[in-house]
Amino acid sequence: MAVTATNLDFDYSKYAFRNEERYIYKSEKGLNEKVVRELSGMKGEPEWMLKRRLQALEIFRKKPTPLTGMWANPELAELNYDDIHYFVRAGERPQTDWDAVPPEIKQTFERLGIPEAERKFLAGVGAQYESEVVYHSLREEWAKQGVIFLDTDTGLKEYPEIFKKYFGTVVPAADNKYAALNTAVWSGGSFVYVPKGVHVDIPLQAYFRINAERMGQFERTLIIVEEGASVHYIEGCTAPIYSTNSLHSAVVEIIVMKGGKCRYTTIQNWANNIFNLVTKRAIAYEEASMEWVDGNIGSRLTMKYPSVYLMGRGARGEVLSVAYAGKGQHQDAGAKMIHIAPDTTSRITNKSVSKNGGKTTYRGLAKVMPGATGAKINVNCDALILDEKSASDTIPYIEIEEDRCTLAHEATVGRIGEEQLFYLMSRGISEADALSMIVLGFMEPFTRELPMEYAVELNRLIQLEMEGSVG
Amino acid sequence: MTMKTFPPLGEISDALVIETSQAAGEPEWLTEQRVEAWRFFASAEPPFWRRTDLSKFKPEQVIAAADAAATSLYQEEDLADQGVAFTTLAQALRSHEALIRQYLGAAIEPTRHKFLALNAALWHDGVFLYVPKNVSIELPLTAVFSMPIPGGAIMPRNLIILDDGASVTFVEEYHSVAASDQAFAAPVTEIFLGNDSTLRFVAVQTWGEDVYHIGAQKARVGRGAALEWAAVNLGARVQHIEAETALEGDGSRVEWVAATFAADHQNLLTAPWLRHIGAKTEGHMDFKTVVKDQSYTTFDGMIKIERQSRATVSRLEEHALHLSPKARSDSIPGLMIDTNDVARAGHASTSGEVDEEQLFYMRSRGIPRDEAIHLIVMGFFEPVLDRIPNDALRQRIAEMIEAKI
Repeated sequence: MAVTATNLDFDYSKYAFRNEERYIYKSEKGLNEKVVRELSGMKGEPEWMLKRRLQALEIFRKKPTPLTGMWANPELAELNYDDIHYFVRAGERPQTDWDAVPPEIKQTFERLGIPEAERKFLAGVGAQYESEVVYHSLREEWAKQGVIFLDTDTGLKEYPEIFKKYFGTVVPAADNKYAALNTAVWSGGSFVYVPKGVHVDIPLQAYFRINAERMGQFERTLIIVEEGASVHYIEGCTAPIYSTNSLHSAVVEIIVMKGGKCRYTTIQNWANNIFNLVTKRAIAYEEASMEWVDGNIGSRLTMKYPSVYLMGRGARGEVLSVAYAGKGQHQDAGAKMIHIAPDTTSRITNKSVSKNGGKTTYRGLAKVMPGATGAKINVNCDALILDEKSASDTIPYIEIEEDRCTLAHEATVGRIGEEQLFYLMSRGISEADALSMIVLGFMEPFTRELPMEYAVELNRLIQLEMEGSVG
Repeated sequence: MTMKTFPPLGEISDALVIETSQAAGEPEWLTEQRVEAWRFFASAEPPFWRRTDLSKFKPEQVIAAADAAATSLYQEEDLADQGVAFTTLAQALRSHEALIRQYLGAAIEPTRHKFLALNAALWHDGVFLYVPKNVSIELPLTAVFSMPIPGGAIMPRNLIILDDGASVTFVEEYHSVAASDQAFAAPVTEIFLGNDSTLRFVAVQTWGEDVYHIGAQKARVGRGAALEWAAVNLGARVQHIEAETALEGDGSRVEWVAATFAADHQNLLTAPWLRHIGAKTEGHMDFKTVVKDQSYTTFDGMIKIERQSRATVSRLEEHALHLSPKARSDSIPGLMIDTNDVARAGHASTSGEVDEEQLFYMRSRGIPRDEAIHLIVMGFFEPVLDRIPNDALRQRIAEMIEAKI
């Protein structure tokens, strides 16, 4: 039985609505010192931030495109940095009151399901429209507990000391070309501070959305979890389809203090023309726990390797990720675990599916530094390739500089088993449904970690992708 | 023994390369190949290798051998009447020029990097092995390469050709006692397996600790042919070996095992590529590494399943054992899969110290800790040592490993 999957392009029409653009300020295309100064000036930023931005701009100009030779991502050559708006402000100020949100933005959120989520059990909603957060709500009791959940610009204004202390300490501008770009032109994102011993039970959520053609989005998120505190932050994106390349280049910095816990969940579903080049990194101190739950469904090219630096004894890191690459897509996602302190543990689980000419790459690093005795690392990568046009690469870097540690890495690559299909079809399930069930089952270790509404949405997305997959 | 050498690298010109080749009575096409490779070497930037430490390597000290005095060949029976050629490559130019012209450089492109070009330009050492159709040789054929003078340099070029249905065991061995001067070896081995042929290939590197070894090996495997490849890497200060098995013919297969043991300040890198091209090809790799003291090893492997391949089976096992806190091992077990027509593909990699449970078990049986570690390391390498066909060589390698523990 020939099993081929064709015509699996995701039907974006459901999501691909496009509101008339109405901007209060939109920078000229292209990147230069003037744009950076204007941007910083309009935000009324302190001098030190402007300086950091300008330094980062220099670094961005000097840094070469990452990855060379055999491992280069040739898609990056399609990016034209001069053809991108680096700053757009929609609406005047971040809103705290739903009624004050402009109606067409509201309409956008409606289609994305934000108010519903709000009505249900979501507590804090930071919704990003264009480059800035325009809507923000935070439950009363959290405010009382001292939890801060703001857009990053407001965070800088209202909590300059916390901000200055941590900003750029986890991901310095010089880390890579796109981190430098983000540092130069960042706008929006979330600023989260959870004080000592405070447990935030309900996930904090932020929706991001790109709406203007050729507009870059450079949000910057900073999360600080103090000693013994815990938080779950959720980031999810959908975007309309446009014909020219757009760039999304975010930086997320997380610091988890002693005994703290942080989980960061992302479902990335950018339109198929968007470059998603993101640096996500966390530092976990003694007995702290950091988990990245990362789903990549959309974008033209995603390059994202969530990392945890395990700096304190007994710290724990986890990356659980799925990638789904359809026609014209390349999901280059992975994870990095850097064991610096003794008795640290980490686990990486990566599942990827490619079809219809799509390509998935797992690129990871598992490193044990000298002195990180008793470190334990477990890495599992499974790739499913649905047709002969699609491809999958696995590039796991393992660097061990300590004898008293254990590392285990496993990877498998395969196709859908004909026996599995046959079994399901012999039970009266159509081939299309059987394929989709198998793919959903393959991704299940990921989906079961998602909050319910996300799990439902992801399953629906995958089913949509799998529709018409029988050729 | 008189030794002919080139002047130091910095004093060699393309005119000298031509002159040397002509003086040796080499055919014109070879002279051209050499001078072309020399020009590439002279103009190309040195390769950038993150995991191979060439910071202390002094190319200006390289004085390359200009004859095949460092090549010794061993065979236990006379094979000439079966049509087998086993001689130095330089000699074989007189008897098998057409075959050499057809195959030399057909597996390994000399312009991949500077050192491969250097080999193509200046090789004089090296072996030529040709086994005719359906000829099967029982006893192993061995080529041993030594360092002719302390601080010398050799660039052996080896060409191994098995015609359809042929079968043979070939051992290439690099061996020297330690000396204080920097020595350099840049060997290239090209292997061609005709349809339904069988080759057991054993590559043993036991240089003294003064040697920089930058080598390449590639086997192209024809339809239904089977390659067994065992590599042992114990010596050298710095080793950088790029090895490849290309399963080109339908139903071709490889069993590839390797043992690397690094101690002191050794920096040993092995970069094996397994390429699946034909239908129903099958590859199994089992690579073992032990690191000790302040040594640093790298396994930079790749399994590539090409788009046109079908029903591929591929499996890689890769294990690193750490005996000292300061040693370092890097592993990059890569996969590049360009088709979904894969029967099975995967890899497993582990790194870590000697298993405490195993140690405990042995100590509870009255075996002292040190001895238990000896036993565990020897057991770890056993699957590789088992594949060495020659008892004396196997014994010598086992002793070298023992001494290193």
